[in-house]
Amino acid sequence: MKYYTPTTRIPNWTEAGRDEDIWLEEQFWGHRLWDGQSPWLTFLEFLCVAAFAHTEGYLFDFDKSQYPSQYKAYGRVHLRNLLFNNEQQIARIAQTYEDSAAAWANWLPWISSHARGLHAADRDFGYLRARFESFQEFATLIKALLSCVVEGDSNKRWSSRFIFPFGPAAIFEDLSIKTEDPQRDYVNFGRSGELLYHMLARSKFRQELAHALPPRILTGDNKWNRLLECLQPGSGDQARTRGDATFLPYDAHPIFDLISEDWLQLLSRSLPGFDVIPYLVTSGAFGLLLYQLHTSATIAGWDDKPSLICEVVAPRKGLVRELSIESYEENAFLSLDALDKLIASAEAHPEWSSPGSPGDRLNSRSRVLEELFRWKDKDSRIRDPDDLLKEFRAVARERHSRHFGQVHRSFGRGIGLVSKRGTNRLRYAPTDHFLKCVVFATVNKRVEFGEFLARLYERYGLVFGVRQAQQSRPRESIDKKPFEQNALRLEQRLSSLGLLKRLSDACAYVENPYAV
Amino acid sequence: MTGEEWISFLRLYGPIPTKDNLYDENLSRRSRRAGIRQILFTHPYEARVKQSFAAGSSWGSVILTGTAGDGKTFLCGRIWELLNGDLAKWAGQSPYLKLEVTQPPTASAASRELTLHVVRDLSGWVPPQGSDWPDDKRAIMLNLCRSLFDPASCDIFLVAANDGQLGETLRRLPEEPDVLRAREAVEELLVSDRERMDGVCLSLFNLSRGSSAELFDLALEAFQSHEGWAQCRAEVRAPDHLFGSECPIRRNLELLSEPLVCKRLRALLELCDQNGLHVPVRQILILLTNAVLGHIKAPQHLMTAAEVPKIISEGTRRLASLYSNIFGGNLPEGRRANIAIFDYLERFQIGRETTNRVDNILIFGESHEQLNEQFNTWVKADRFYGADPTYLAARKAYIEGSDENGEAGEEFLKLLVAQRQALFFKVPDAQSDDVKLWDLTVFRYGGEYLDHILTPLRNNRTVRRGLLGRLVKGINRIFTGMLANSDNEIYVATSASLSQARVSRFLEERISVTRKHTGERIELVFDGRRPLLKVFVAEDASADFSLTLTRYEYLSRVAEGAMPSSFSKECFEDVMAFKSQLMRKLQGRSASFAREGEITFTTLEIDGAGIARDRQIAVLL
Repeated sequence: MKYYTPTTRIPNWTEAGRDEDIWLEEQFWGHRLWDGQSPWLTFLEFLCVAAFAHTEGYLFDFDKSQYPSQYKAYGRVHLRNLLFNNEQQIARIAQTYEDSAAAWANWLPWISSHARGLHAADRDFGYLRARFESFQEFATLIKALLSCVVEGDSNKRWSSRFIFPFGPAAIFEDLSIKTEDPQRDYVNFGRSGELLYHMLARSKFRQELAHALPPRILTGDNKWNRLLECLQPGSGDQARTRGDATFLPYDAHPIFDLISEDWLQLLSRSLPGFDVIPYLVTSGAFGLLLYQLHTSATIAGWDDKPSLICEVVAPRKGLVRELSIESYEENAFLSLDALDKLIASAEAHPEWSSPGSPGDRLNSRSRVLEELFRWKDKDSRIRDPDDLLKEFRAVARERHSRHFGQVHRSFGRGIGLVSKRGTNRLRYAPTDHFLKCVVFATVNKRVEFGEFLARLYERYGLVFGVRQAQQSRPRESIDKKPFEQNALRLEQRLSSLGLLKRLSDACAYVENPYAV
Repeated sequence: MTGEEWISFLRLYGPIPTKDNLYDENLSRRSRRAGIRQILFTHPYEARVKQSFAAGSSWGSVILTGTAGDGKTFLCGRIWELLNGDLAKWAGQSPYLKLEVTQPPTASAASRELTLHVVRDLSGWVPPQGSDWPDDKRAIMLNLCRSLFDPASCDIFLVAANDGQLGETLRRLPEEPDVLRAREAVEELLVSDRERMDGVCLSLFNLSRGSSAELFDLALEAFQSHEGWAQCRAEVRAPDHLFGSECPIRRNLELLSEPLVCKRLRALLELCDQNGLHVPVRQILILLTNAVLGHIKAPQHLMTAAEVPKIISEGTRRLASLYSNIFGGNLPEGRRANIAIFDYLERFQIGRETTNRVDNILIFGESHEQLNEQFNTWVKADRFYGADPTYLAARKAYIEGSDENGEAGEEFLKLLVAQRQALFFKVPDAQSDDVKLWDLTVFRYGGEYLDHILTPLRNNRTVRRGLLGRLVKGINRIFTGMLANSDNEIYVATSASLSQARVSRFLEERISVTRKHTGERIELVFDGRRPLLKVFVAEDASADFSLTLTRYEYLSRVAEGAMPSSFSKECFEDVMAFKSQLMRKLQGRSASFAREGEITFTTLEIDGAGIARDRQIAVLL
């Protein structure tokens, strides 16, 4: 890609473990952005990589991030059995038995027979008894921890539920736990978090970030992390090697720098306790969304930077809503345009048009597609060389629509940027949390409202006001009034979030209360 | 000047559409032509601004900023006079004027010859949005920026600009170091509400930071004492003519002199101030003029002298009620919403908020044993705006339910709004608790806020403990997300170190209202403009929460049972941000109190009586 620096370490076809039957999106965007992964799950997967790199002393090291990059992830199966596997049992026993000894005597055998994912030798939870003064106190803390579950209302299997990342003791990977041996599948952790790690490790600010991030999350120097340590036996948890199939095709990309800069800003804010973490989650996933969008635009040959026209939800439908729907749909299909461009590039390959019998031409074209995209017409159904590309396009598009083509929608909804609120079509209509996140990331102390709008456009392509609407659609004439009202609604929303100070009828400042 | 001429001159001050930036100039021109004195009084900032150009002080540039109608250009004129500027020049149209002045010697410096550049209306002077700076104007602006950082500069500036325009203008200049510094300095002064800062030769007066209530006192006095009124009185010809005994204009002016009416109106302006809504001079004059001259059906909704007999004979005098005019009730809704003062007063929802008691007085009071007296005094006795035949007929139709399509009922509800508005100005202090006067507004605690918070604080007295306790209780309910009743200490609670969770079951710290030996305490103090809730975590470290009227109302209502996040999202966010601030202050304090080898957690539970119980749990490492 002409604007981005490609990475030099590229997967080899013959490598073991590489069994993709198409290597297309993976090649240009990475392996892989996974639509089934929520922003939180992306962040938790990221933490698994970061926690390991931190322990090994090379957090965000550029060279170590080169393909194939491995890391080891923990399962923390004891902890997960306590918290998520039959969680009611602890409370029930604490209620039934007032006497602590009796409660332990009842519960310990129960857990050791009901715990999953552990071999018989590891199923002893007796270590807990010595660490708590009573079973009741143990039960109270378990209950408290259960109020700190990430995405608590989702209906995931118990082995895909996660505790808030207080520190390393709370960081573990998604597993399928049915037997004594947990299995790693790629349903909830689909490598988006691993890609996020590599983007940061290849960003301009990787060194600064390597200093700023650990004290907030990775050092675990807080009592909640200590508590989680106390709930685990201290040994017997085997970390497993992961990540070697993950591939990020660029060594430098403006969006890598954007994400890392936003994270640095967020980490520098004076948000107390763990309050910064939900914003890192949103900001990280927003970065991935922009990465996909911008890369697609570049591949599709766009000159303009993609823009996202946002409606600050209005009571009635109007021009801004219409354009925000249009803008969303355009962006959501941008990766498909890019895909078509890439597929069409096969025709420019010197061997594509090599002369010969239809059979020869079919063979040479098959070779081209295999070389470029690793695709083979396995069942040899195609006879006519002119149909080959059509077939490949159909297959690739179908595959694209299942996952990669859903990333914009899925990530957008996950971070609260995309929604159907007040209508039945998807559009950009940011939530309060999203707005807070961009204010915290971009505003140092304060900035005049008009300048704030300009900054959001310049940095992210977000459009709220008239001027940005005109800039983003220079070839159209934009009706001013609806966008003025949209900006006014944004102003009111920010003000209701305590993020805007109006000095007079003519002057307002966006303020970041956590800037230092 | 005749009485009639005075009334038609006065209408210029009313809510009639004018071009904003020519307002002051137009009025002086009309005043000169008609030979009628303008309504004038000494601007509260006049002495302070003049001080910047007094002998003995070191002169520097002055920027006057504020909302439209704050008197910026007017004050420039006073300075021009003070420095003996040519009055004919001032009466001209140019927004930019120059004056050679001599600064008298100061203790440390000899006298200096200076050029004073006056931009008396920045918005009329800068090139319009989108067009380039003409060279001369750009040079003047760059000169201004440079001079701010050069004490020896021979150029000083006097600029009148609204704050938005000022910032915008500075942003449109080329990004030179001096421009950037000037921009930063002006912004800092504006946002932090200061007049001066070190190293910058500039005084910035933000007229929007003045007290609206104080302006109201000054304007009211000037309004009432204008000789135009004496002229009207002298000319009375018949009871149904201008200023006759039946004249609504005269009646309204008299009502405006009643102490109770003034007091309540002033209270509303004071509360606007406390909510950060500044009412400029021009808006106060609109309010007063409209209050006296307003009439729903008059041309431009303002009465003229000629209209008076017609209004009386047609029996539409009730449409001139001062009590409704105060809220712009004589104006169409769209117009009303565009005029700041009516927009602000509308937020009190006076006339739309009510209680059963008030409505019972108004509807059934006449035949009700206990309410009869109040009905008679407040409604029936008011010949002008009380229970006139229209009201009585509409009430009858409403009570008997005789109208089929609901039109009469709707009409009566409109009349009821006017009567409730009137009651707000009629119920004397002695009965205001009994009637729950402030329940006629959305700020049920508005009266208490004025009398028991603001007044004592202004007079250096302590606020009643019970009121502080109620605020603490409200804060506790928001901090914990549970129905806590504790009012003698603040619970700083989290959900496992996440401060912003809706429900927080872990206690980080508690802070006592009564002073402890560590210096921790909770106090209500006055910062010169507003009450401040100060939570001290140590002798010299506190987190401060500015207690606007809205926040006071919010905390009080939450303390009495309202749901924190549904009642006001904005206030909820404010209190949560305050919690973050408090936690930061505490972070330094609670770093390490754990014993070696164990970690402790304090859980917080609220029992049925709202009593908070905390329990310590230790975990051995």
